[in-house]
Amino acid sequence: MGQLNMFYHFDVEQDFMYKANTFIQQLNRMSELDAELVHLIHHEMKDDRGQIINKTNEAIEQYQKNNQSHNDMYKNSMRTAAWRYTHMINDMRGQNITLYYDVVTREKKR
Amino acid sequence: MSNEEVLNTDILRARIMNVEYQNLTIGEIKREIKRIYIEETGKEPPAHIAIYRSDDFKDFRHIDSGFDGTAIHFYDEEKGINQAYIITRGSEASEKDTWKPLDWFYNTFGIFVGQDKSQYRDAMHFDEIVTKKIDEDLEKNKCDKKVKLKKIGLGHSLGGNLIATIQLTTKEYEQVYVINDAPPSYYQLAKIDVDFWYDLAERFNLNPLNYNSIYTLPPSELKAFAEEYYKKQIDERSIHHLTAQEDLLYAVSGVRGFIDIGSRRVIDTNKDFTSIKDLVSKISDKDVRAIQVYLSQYSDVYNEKGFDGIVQAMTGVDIAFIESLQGYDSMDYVWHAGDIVSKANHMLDDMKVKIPELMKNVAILYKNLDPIFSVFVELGYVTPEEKKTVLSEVKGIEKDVASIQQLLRKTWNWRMAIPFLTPLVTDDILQWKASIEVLFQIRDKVLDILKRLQIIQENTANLQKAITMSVDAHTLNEVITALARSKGRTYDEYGNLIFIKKVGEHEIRMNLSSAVRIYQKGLQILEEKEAVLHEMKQRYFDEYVEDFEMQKRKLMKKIEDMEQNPWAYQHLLGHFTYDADQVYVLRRIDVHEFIPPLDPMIPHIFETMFSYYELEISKGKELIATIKKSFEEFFEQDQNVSKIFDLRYG
Repeated sequence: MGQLNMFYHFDVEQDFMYKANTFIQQLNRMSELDAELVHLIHHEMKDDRGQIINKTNEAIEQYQKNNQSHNDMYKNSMRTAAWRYTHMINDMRGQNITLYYDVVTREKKR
Repeated sequence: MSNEEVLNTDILRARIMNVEYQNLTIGEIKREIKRIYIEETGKEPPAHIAIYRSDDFKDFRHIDSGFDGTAIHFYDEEKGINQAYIITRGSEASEKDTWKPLDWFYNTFGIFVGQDKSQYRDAMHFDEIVTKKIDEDLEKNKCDKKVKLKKIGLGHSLGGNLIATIQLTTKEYEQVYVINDAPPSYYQLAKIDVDFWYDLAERFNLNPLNYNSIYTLPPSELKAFAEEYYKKQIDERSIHHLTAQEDLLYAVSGVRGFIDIGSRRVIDTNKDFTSIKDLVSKISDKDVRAIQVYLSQYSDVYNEKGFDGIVQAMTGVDIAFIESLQGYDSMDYVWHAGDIVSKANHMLDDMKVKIPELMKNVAILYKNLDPIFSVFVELGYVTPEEKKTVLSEVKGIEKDVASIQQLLRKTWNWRMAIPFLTPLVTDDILQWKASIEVLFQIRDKVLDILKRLQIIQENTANLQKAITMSVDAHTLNEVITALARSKGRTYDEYGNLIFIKKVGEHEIRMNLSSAVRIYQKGLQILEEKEAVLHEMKQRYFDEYVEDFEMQKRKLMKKIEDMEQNPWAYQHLLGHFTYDADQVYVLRRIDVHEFIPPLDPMIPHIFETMFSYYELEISKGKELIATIKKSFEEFFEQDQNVSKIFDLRYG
């Protein structure tokens, strides 16, 4: 019995980058909510002065700044995760296989 | 099951009445009522609050009396509360759809003269239909009606006059609370209340069919009769007046027409100013009438557009429109004919009504001004020189108004209206230019009046200050601020509650309403972030963890299929022609499957992100909590502060 080793793709290649989009939308929503929070605090405190106000304003601005940079970073991470997943699944779909076969000689009719 | 009054303090009632002036939507009114109730009591408001506004009933959409009212229905089956607060709105700066200051006209002609009962009639009608609607809604919502509906009347200014007058004539409410009200007037009551009028006519031997004969009676006797009559009709203890000592209406309430029924709490809203009552009391009864009309007009325009707005309202002249014509050349008149025709017609129509009225008012004013200003001089509000200047300028205004009237007549003689009415006329440019020249002359006269008013304003600064303080004291804001002051509180222009505390020499003010909104809305935002985070975690599980398992299962199924049905993959050995000597026949396939676990970078990315957001949300909550904590620590004696933060404004 003869045998033949080969690499076989069980499925076509697929792009899973779309998976990043929903997460990016959710991260955008997180940013919007941060902006709402900052706007709320600034709006409510616009006519007020004092130590507590200054400290709160400082803290909330720092909070938003910090969140924004993380948010941007995580959006990139979402793309990276989708990219890695695409590669992983497409790689996984290709497997080594061994084919076992018989060589059959046909009798020719005279 | 006590059904004790929900709005049981002056400050609570005053703040709720003030909401009526803010032109809010029903949802916003409800939120404001909840907020105010929580801030003032530190308690949860009744479970059910319904708002009914006169504007929302079809019967009131087209009325032109100027009446506006709101009813607030509190219902709480558990607490045994079933109460309706009927609020009649006070004098408005201007009505929504008309230039006419209807409320102040009503103040003057309805209350002072007594000849108009339109707003009283509309207020009564509103009370009737709103009571019926509340009953229907209770029925519809299957509410237990074991607790009888308690009706309470609230009103400020003109609104106070309306609600108190309804109480005097119908005994409709269990209690009536009025703030800086225009007192009920016997002239008006005689017009409204037939029984009163017949008793009065009998007592004073008047012909009941001749209403005007009432003006011949001595005001003091009429007042005594009216007060005695109504004290017999109603329980006097059901009407409560809250009055700012400095209030303009209170200052003039001693004049002819007004009666005093019910209890009265007088509060000091301005430590540096007492009242213009001394000024009013020195002026003769006849002159008071003139000054009262003058002050009503002043208050209205003052509220609406400030001093400069007076001229526009009095004359009907649209200065901006006339100014816009200045840069036009001949052809421009032709191009803009349609627009000019429409605006000029509108303005001329307006002037036709307003100028003769103004002429009449200025003449009356001038006649009464000399004795009135003599009193002002005597009391030190103006100097003799200032009086002289003011009188001379008023005379000048009289002349200017007469000139405008002349010019208006001239426009008719020149048939100015004809080209304006026929915008297609393009051949009579000269006539157009002449007509527009008249408009410029009118504008110049109006500007002269403005200059004169400016001079009058400069020469009556002290007087105006006193009147302005009196007008200010009339507003609910001043009353609310005065009521709150003793509790170490105040309110800003938006109705926010400000806590005041003295620390050493410094006064520290903290805006509690803002802080509560930041706390409650801030927490809401952070809760929404938590919800988004939760969704992200779920999605990560679905999109990666679960999806990866599914991909593996799909692959394993295909592998199994290959191993179990190798013949189906014969093509992998190539194709053989029909005459080939040898063929390869596939017998078996072994798949050396290698299925790695999920790329560890992927869970790492997500877990890092999730823990960041968890931490960040909890930091946000801490930040928000700090605001609450600062208030609690700062006002540690006030138990209500911490409760207020935890009760939802709605």
